[in-house]
Amino acid sequence: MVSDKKVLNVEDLRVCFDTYRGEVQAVRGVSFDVCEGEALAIVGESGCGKSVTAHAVTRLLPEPPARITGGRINLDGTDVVNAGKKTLQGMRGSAVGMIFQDPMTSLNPTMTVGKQLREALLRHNPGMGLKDAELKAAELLSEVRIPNAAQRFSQYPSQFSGGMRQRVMIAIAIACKPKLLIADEPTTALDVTTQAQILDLLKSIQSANRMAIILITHDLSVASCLVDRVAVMYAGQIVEKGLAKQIFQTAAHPYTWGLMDSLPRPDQDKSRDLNTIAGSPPSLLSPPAECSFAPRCHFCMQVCSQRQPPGFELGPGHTCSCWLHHPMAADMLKQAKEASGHV
Amino acid sequence: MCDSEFIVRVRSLKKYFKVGKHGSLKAVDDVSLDIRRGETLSLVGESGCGKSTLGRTIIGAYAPTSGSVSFDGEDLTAMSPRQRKRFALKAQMIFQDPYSALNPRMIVGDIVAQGLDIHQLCRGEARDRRIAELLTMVGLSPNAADRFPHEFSGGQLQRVGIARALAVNPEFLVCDEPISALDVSIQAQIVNLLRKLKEMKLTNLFIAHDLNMVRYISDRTAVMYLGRVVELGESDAVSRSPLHPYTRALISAVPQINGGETENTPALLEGEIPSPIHPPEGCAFFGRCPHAAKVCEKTRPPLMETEAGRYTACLMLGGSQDSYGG
Repeated sequence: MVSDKKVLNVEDLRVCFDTYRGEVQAVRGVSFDVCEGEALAIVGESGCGKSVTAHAVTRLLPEPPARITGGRINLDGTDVVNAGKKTLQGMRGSAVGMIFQDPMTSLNPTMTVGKQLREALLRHNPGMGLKDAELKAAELLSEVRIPNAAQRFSQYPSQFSGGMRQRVMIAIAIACKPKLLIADEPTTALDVTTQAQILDLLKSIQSANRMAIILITHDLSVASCLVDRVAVMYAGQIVEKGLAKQIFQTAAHPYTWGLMDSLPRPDQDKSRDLNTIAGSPPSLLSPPAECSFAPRCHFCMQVCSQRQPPGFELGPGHTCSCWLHHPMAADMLKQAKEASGHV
Repeated sequence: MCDSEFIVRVRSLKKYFKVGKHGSLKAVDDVSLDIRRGETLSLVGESGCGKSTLGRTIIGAYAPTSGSVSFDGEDLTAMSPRQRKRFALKAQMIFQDPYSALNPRMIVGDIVAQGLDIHQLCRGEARDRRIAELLTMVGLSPNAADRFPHEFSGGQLQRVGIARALAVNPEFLVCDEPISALDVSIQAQIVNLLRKLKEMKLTNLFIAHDLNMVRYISDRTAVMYLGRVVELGESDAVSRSPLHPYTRALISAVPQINGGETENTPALLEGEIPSPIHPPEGCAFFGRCPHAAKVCEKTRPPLMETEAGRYTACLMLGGSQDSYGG
């Protein structure tokens, strides 16, 4: 299903925010690509830069205070970093669609759901008539499995539940069949049952339209339901990336271990405390030049607090930025794996 | 003071909210349950099932429409204002969103000491010492006392909220989704902190929707659906072998990391929770239940003991009718 044709290519992306305290370096040299029909998850804690990365791809960041200070973004042939306003407006909606965390604040409360859907269609299809747009909009509503689509068409967002609103958001995002769908924490505000419904919907839409998806989440278990590849972000950098199988079975970075262990498993021993990652992420006002995870890492070595680790290639497509994977640290790595239980 | 096994007893509790001129929203509809002294009882369910309303009614933040709540043998609904104030020394609450639960214009020390000040428990140096002690207990530095809430992260603010609740040495704590707004790694820290509190002989009513977390933290679990308790039992038993079809659906909807090899789609529960303004006549779960029979449409299933210590409200499961899940 996944082809080699790249929909999105991000190289060494750097984004900062100008604040009164100085420059916050939210994204510090992030590179990844997404192929046609592929789902990539960007996972990390709040403030790690995962949303900023996704918003930079669509250039939806408020500029100023945000600034893209370096790197390249190539979205389906468009140079996003240097594109003009017109190009960007044409690109949003038709080449890339976006779903946000809170469906209530992303829908217009004073417009009927149908009108908002129709707006997206008319904007990107200049030749389309009002009647056609309405028909297509009703079709989209049933495509995202909203019951009584025809009746729901003329209702307002306040008459929809959270899960239904998120479906409307998805319908708007896929209205013009974008090549890439960015879902920014699409299920965080939803119940587990609704979350399962939305994830299933995203999956079927993806396979029906051969769409690429970037799923942004802080929950690895949500990611494991949907994606082919995972990128783990910490303090504005991707610390580990690889195929879902590689990440979930043979995670290599101590931070990824920490994220996985902080979720209670169904067979969790109740007499033991949950594993946590002590401490908090570094301030990105003056990000450390060494490994940014070193102060919180159980397996920190001397080199970790001196130099930034390069990306070590562990397998096809699996890279990990951690000094433990340096050939000279093989013993240390073995000990760390045993101590953390991620053998 | 009554030292019976149960600290809280809820009997046929109903909480209706008025909607429009004649309508009413049945947020909690005839719930009876007992909370044992020192246990952690979890309330789980989808949003809108009435779990938060039940928690708030139990602690007296809402006046019940009918039914009764008794705390240590005292009827909460019949309390005088003076008794109510004394009750607040025994029962405290932790809220979901730490950003809106704490006054942004007060320094953390004053927030934590609110209970101490209201009940005039200590003053001056003793008050400062107590604040420092509380902040240390929840894993914050005593210096935090002089800072404002906006200087903290969500996880740290939740710790402040917990310190405020603990200030008056309560016996009973209602935690209303204390971890839902937090990151996964921070959730684990707060859960460990709450587990530490358990050792202090606190009784805890833990409202949540994450079932893995619930099994991990609580002794017993009550599953709510549309204002009613549909299943109640030991947490391990409820999550390992759920009996009620709704509990089963809820548990299978929880995503699991499975190594990314096999197809990993959680089982789907079709449809949505019905409106609590016009709840169905019979079983509330009728429209979504895969095992529904004709009888379920018209007959409301009572909460019955299906196994020892295990209560379910499902006509298809049978069981012997018994009292209230004590």
